[in-house]
Amino acid sequence: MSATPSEQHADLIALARGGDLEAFSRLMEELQAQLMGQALAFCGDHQRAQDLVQETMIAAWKSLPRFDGSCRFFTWLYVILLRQHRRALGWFSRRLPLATLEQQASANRAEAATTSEAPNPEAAEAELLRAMLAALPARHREVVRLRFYAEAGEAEIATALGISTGTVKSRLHHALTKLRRMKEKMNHLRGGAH
Amino acid sequence: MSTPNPDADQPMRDALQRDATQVPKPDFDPQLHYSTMRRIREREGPSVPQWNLIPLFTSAVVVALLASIAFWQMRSSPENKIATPSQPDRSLPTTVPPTVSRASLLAYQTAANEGDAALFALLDRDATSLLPASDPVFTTPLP
Repeated sequence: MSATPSEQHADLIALARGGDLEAFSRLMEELQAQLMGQALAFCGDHQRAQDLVQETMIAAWKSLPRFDGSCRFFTWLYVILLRQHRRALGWFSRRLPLATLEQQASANRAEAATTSEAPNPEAAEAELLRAMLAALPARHREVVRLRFYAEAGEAEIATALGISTGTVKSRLHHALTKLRRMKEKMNHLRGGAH
Repeated sequence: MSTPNPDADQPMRDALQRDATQVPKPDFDPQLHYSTMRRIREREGPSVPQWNLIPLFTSAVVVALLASIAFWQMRSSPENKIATPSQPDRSLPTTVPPTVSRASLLAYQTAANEGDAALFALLDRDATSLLPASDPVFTTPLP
């Protein structure tokens, strides 16, 4: 994913922060595709992704006076996207047990096998990875998403989330450890199933 | 407690980085953009901004509270109690209970023997049981 050239948007951001809705509209025209791509990765459903992007844009406009430029604009926007997604999920944002994840992944693999001639192992792995990400606690998931999907540095994540860099490092470490262990258990479950 | 091994997480880091490159990049959706901007404009339009409502509401509550306190004080002041027609005027002589028993003939004789001052004092005391204390007869000097 290419980094958002937020520096190029500095003028638009400044105008939008002053209440210029046209400037905000132009800014969102530039960033909508990126936001939509990330939303699609979260939801996997076009309609829900559109709703999520819309709610994110509205929330961004309301919160724009609080954006102080201490992190990239896209990182700030991405945090709003993550939180809107979490809010939209509500009760369903609770973590799923690994066995459920494996069942879902198996069902998806079976469905893919009936619709296409050759199963795509890379796509299956990507799907499994996203399912494992969804199973992480929200505080760990948002750090992983910001680090790898929004390409934000640890200091930038700390600023965007209002936490210390040490906390970001700690959460990232715990998240990666959990993901690795989940992968090992999933492999074990798969091995037991075959 | 196990010692953290950064290399153990490297395959997972690589997998996440690989997955991030596979995030779809859809085209700009004008319909989504314009419908969102329309919603934002609708919210911005005729309604009072939310940050204005809080002080407005607080001021209204404070004004209402002060007005009710002032009204309550006016109602409960003694001057208003007298002026209120629904309340009976306790200073009227018909309602004054005869708390003091009137002096006997012997008391008047004794007072007359003592002098004018004692006699007038006794007359005044008896008069208060018939007339209100605010009656001009008690305040105006004798001719």
